[in-house]
Amino acid sequence: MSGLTRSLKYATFRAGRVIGTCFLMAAAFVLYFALLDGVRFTPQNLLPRFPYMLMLVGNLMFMIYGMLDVATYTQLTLTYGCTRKNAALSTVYMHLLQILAIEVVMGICCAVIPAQWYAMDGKTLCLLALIVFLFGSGLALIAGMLIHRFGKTAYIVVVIIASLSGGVIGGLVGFHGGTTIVMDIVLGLLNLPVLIAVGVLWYAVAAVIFWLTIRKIEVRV
Amino acid sequence: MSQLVCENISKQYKKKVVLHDIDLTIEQGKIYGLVGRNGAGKTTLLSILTAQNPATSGTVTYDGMPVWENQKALDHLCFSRELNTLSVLGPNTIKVKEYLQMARTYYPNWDREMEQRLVAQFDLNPKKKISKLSKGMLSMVTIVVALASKADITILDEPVAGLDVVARDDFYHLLLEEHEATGRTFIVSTHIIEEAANVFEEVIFLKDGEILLKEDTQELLERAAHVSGLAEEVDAACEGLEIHHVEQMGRSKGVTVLLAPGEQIADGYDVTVQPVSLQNLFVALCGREA
Repeated sequence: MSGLTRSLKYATFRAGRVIGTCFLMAAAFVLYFALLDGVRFTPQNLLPRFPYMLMLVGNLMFMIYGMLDVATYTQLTLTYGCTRKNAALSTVYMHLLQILAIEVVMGICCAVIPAQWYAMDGKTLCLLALIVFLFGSGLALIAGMLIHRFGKTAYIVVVIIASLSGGVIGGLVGFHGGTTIVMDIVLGLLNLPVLIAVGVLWYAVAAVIFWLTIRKIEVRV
Repeated sequence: MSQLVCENISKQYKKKVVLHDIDLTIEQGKIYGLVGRNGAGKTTLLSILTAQNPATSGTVTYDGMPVWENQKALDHLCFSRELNTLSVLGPNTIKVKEYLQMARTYYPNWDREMEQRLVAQFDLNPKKKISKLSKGMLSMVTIVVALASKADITILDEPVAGLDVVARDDFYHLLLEEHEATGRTFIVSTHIIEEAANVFEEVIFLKDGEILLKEDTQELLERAAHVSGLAEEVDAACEGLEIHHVEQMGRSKGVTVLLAPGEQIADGYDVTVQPVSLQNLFVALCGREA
């Protein structure tokens, strides 16, 4: 088995774990919100929430894991004799695999669940999720590198920024009384193809910065 | 015969030079002891040998192939690092089983049976997080990775740190068994020198980022001696010899001498000549007064 194959094998396992966690958490949140809704466990109330939750939880998980991966996953793979090139490739592969898996499941959900049950068109939702995932994963890569470079200080700064932006988005959603408000604002500013192109470009830039950093990275465990 | 060779390795962090032009050849089938004081550059050197850290200048090759970014060469090497539980992030946040699972995936010759046997022997709990392990348990995890990796050249950084005397004895037995069975090369970095002296075929002393000596342990000990007696007698007996670590108390004096081939302590003087242990020799050569 070549070095790259071994790296991809482990990346697949790790991505699988993240994806599994996303499914479980999304399902748990769906049930939680159904409970908050007055214990309404009807398919109409439960099923359309699942792809939304997948998008939210998926992005959260991708960001958390992506951010911590530079300090844990990348460092460990290098101590185990992986080349920097293979470590970088497997990281990008892992992100793309995670995004693809969630997107496929979201797509299936949107295709199977009646369209009138959704507040938003299924295809738009999947494309929005793609944009969110690309931005989130790219941001996580850069945050991870900053944390690796500057240690605890960067970690605290990242956590504060994440909390503040989470609070602002949460507040906005709460104030307007609907989860689609943020999407409406974003879509009002730019159209989907432009956003997708920017998302892809953003992730590509983050991946290039990641590679430029990792190619001379020092192992510190 | 496989060799790990480093030539003119230097490492500099900002203005601090950690390693100065190191030339070192690691030959197949030997157990090396890498000994140096804290901050001497041991871990940095080992990290560079295994391409975990880049050198500022110089090259490292395995069988003539560059080690840096070369999977073919890296597949023959294993550097099982000392784990740090104090960092907020990093590998200490994962469980032992995940740590081992990663190693299993990445090392091409991983011995699963040996991994399971050692985990059972050391009574390691795979479900425990690395950060929750005691110092001794951490050492055991690194030993499991090093031995089960089956890498041709295996490097252990402070493998006995925190281990009790029984566990240390078990480790040396395991190391010797594995070495005898497979002919693998081991480089063991340690501060507990005395009890490992019999295990090391060759010893490498690192001082202030430079290789002070690299020599067959037995030959080194045979040419080292502690000479004591009246100061003038000691001075006369050791005239022209390489003298280290002079201890003087009143009119009495003690010195550690390192004899070059063909040299000997002069006869006819009233001095006591005693063999020197590896630890005392290290103190004599690398201690503050050396």
